[in-house]
Amino acid sequence: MSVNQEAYITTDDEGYLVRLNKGFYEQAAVFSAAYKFMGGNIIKIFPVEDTMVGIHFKPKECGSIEKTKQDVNSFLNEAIDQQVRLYLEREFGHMRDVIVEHAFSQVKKKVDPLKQSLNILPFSFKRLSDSQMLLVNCVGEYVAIPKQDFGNLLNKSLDKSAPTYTLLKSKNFIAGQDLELAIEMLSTKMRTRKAFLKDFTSLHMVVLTGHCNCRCDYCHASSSDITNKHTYQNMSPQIADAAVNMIFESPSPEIKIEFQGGEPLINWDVLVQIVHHAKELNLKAKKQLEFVLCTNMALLDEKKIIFLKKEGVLISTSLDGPKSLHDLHRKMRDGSSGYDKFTENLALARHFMGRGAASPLLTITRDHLDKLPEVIDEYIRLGFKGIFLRALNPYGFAREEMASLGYPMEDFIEAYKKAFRYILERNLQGEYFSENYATLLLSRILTPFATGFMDLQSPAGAGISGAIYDYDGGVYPTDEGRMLARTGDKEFLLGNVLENSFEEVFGGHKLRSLTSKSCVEILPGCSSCAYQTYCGADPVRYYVETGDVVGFRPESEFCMKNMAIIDFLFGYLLENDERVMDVFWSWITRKPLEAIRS
Amino acid sequence: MKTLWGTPHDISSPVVAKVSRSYLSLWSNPTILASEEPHFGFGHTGLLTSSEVPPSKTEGKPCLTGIPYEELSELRDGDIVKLYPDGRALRIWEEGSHQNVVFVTEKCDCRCIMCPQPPNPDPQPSLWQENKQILSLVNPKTTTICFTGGEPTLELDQLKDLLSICKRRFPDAALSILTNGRRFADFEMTRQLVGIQNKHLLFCVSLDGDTEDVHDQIVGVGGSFGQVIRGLYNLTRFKQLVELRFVIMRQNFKRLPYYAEFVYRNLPFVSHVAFMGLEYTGDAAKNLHTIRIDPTEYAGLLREAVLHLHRRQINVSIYNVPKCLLPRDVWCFAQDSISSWKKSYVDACLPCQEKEHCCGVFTTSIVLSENIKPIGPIGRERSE
Repeated sequence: MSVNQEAYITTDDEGYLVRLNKGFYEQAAVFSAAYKFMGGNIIKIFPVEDTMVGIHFKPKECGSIEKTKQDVNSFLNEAIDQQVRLYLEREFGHMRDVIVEHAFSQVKKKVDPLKQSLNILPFSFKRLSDSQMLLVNCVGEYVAIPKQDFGNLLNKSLDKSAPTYTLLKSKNFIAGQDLELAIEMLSTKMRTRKAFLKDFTSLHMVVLTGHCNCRCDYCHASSSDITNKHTYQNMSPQIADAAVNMIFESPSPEIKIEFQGGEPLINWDVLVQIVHHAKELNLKAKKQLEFVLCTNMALLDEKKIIFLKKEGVLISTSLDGPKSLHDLHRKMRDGSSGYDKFTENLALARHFMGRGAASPLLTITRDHLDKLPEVIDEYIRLGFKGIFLRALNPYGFAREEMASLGYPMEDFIEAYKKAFRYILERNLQGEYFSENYATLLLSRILTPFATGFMDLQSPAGAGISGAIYDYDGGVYPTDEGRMLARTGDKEFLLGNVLENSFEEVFGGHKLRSLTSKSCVEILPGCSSCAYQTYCGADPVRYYVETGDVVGFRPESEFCMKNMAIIDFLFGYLLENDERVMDVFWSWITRKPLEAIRS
Repeated sequence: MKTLWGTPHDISSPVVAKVSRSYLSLWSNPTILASEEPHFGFGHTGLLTSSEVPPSKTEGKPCLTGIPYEELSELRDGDIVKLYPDGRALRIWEEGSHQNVVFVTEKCDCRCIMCPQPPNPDPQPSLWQENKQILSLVNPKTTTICFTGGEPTLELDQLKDLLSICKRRFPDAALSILTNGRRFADFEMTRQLVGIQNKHLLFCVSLDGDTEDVHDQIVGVGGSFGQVIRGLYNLTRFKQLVELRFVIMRQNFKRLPYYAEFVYRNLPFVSHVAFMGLEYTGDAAKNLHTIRIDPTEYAGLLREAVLHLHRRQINVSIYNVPKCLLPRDVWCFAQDSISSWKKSYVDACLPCQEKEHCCGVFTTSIVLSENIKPIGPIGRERSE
C-alpha cells in the first residue's frame, strides 16, 4: 500500500483548513485523527470537492492559534498513521480475534493460514522521531525500528536477511510459515498478561467509619467530625458481618480486606470483629487471607499494635513530607501536630512489628510540587523504601478545593520527572528507594506478567479486581465511586450487603456495563494508542471528568499523565544504560542492587 | 569416557560389570576384580590387571592383562566398566561422580551441525538391556543420573522403563534428560513420561535460537523450532522442571541478547538457562569452518544475555567457556562444566589464579581458542 501526503493547508480568519485527498484517506481515518485534537480545537469535517475532504481547525477559547498551527501539522501525520492502522486492521485485524479466542475460549478454531509467506500480527505504533518508529505488539513487547524498515514492512518488501526482520519475528510482530505457532505463543502471553481476570475480585475495602480525627484539606473521602462522640457514620456489627459474608462469596483464592475510613481505628471493635469473623470463615474457605489497615496512626496504642501484629494486619498510612509540609494540609481536628503523633506511633509500631510495620502514601498538593526532593529525603530519613508519586485526584474535599490545592497536569508531570531523576540519582549512589508508579509501568512494559493495580488494567479493575463496602453497607466498584456518593452522586452504587445477593451486586447490569465500557482495546483514542497494553481505563475518573464512563481522551488528565510518563520512561528504556536498567529491575523485583548486578 | 587398554583373554562379546577392589566378592551382581596381581580372587566374574601374565586358571572368565598401573589405579570400587573383545575397557560409570550418563540410544531425529556425537549410520543393537543392567549395578545411594543419546525420547519404552527403575532404586536422585525437545510437542507422549512421577526430573532441552530460521538451520530439520516451543509448553502444563541449552556458534551468536529476551517473554517458567561453548569434535569438527567462533568474539553479547536473564531472576549459567575468555562480571555464572575425563588445561593455564575454578578446555576438541591466557590476582589484571 502507499499513502501519499496529498494534503493542502490554507488559513482563514478563524483558523486553518486542511484538505485531504479522499482517494488516500478514508473517512474513519480522518475522524480518528481529528478526535485526537478536539481538546483544544473546534473541528469541522465536510466535503470540499469531489475528491477532497476539508477539516477545519479553530482554536477553542482555552486554546491559541499557535497551538492550533502545531496541531494541524501533527494532524497530518496522525491522519497517515490512522490510515495505516485501517489498512493493517483490514488486512490482519482478524488475527487479533483469533488470538483472543485462543487465549480465553474453550473452542479453538483452526487458523486459516494466509496465502502470503509474511503475516503481520497485531501491533500498535507511534513515531519516536523523524527516522524511528516504536512498535508495541498486543502482549506488550516493544521494538524501535528505522522508519524505512516500517515502510518496507507495510509494503511487504522487508528483506528476510535484514536484522529488523529477525527481530520482528523473534518478538511475534510477524510470522512466517508457522502462523499457528505465533498465535499459540501470543495467546499464551495474552492469557498471562490478563491473569488478573481469572480469579475475580480479591481486594475488598471496608469503610469502617465516615468519621475521622483528622480534617485534611484534601480529604478525598469527605470525612466527618468525631467531636461529641458522633458515631452515626460507623459501620454496624450487623453490616460488618454481612459484608464479610459477601466478601467470602468471591471466587478469588486470595482475599485482601482493607480497612478504610474516615479513620478506621475509631470503630476498633468492628475491626476486631471483622478479623475474627473472616478468619473463622476462612477455616473452611482456606483462601489466602490478608488484612491492611489504612490509618493516620494517631489513635494507635500498644494494645492495638499487639493485636495487629498477632493477626497479621499490615499498616498503610499517610506521610506528606517533613513536619511543615505534613502538617500543612493534614490537620488534626484537635489542633495538635499530626506529624509528631505519626513519628511517635511509627516508632511504637516498628518496635513491635519490625521495620516494615507501615508503608505510607503521599498526597501531592500544589505546595508539594517544587518540594518533592525534600519529601523524598524525609521518606528515606524515616527508613521507607519507596514512594508513590501520584497527582491529586478530584474527589471529596479536594474537588471543592482544587482552586487552592490543585495544579495543571503539565505542572505535575514536570515535577514528577524532576523527582524521578532525583530518586534515580539516589539509587545510582547505592540507596535502594523506588518510585512506585514508575515501577508499575515498568513492570507492565518490561515483564510478561499481569500487575495487580486497578487503574492500569483493561478491563478496569473496578469491581472485578477490587470493591469497596461503605459503612452503610453500600457496595461500590472503587473507592472513588463511594467518594462520589459521599458528595451526593450514587451513580456507582452496585447494591447493599443487607439487601442484595453477591450475584446481584457483582453479576448485575451495572458492573457488567462498567466493565465492558472500560477496555482500552475499544475505547476511543485508546484503541489505536501505542501504549494501550501498558495502560488501563479509569471509568470512575472519566465519569467525574466528562459525566460518562467512556470519557474523552483529548482532554483526559489521566491520559495526559500516562502518555507523558510512559514517554519519559521509554526515553530511559531506549537509551538502555546498564546502570539505570539495574535500578529499574531492582524496583521491579524488589531486590537490592547487589542482587541484580552479578 | 575413560578408556583403558589391555590384552584381552576370553572376551568374545562385550561384558558389563561392576569393579571391585577386594579379593572377596560379596555381591550377588557380577563384579570384576581390579588388581595388580593376576588372580581372580573369590566370587568375581572377571579380572582387570596390570600384570602382563594372565592367571594360571582363567576358567573362561573374561580378563584384561597389561593395563598400565596408573590407569588401573584410577578404577574404584563401584565403577562400572564395559569390556570389549578388542581389549578396551570403557568406564561407563564412575562411582561418586556427578557426571554419569546413561546412553539411551544412538539414534537421533536431528542433524545438528555442531553435534559432538553424531549418530552411527549403521543400526546398533538396542542398549535397553545393558542400561537396565547398569542401573541395577549402580550404587543405590547415587545422587545424579543423566539420560542422554542420541535422542532419548526416540526409545520411549526404554526411557519409561529406565525412569521407573530409577523411581524404585533411586527415589531421591536428581535425574535429567538431555533432549532436542521435539517429541514433547506430542501431549500424550509427554503425559506418559511425566506420569512416572520421578521426584526430581529435569528436562534439558536444546533451543539454539529465538526464531525458526536460526534454530532449524542449526538442528537441520525444518519445523523443529515450533515443535520445541510446543514441547516446552506441554512440559510446563505438567509443571515439569526445564533447563534450556543454547550452544553458541557462528550461526547464532548475534542472537544472544534477543534470545535472552525471547526466553523471558515466552518461557519465563524455565528453571535454568545454560549457554554453552562448542566442543569441536564429531560433526562440530567436520563443520569447523562454518560454525567456529572464538569466545572473545561473542563475550560481549554473551555477557549482555546472561545479565539480561539474571536481572529478571532467571537462573543462568555459562558452560564450557574458560574464564579468561569472559568478562570478569560474568565469571560467577561460568561453571566447571567439562566432565573430568575430557577436561584439560593448556600450558598458559599453569600460573592462572582461577585455574581451580575454571572449566578448562575439552581434550576432545580439535582446536582451542588462541586467546587463553593466565589470570592474575584481582585488581592487577582485567580481562574485559
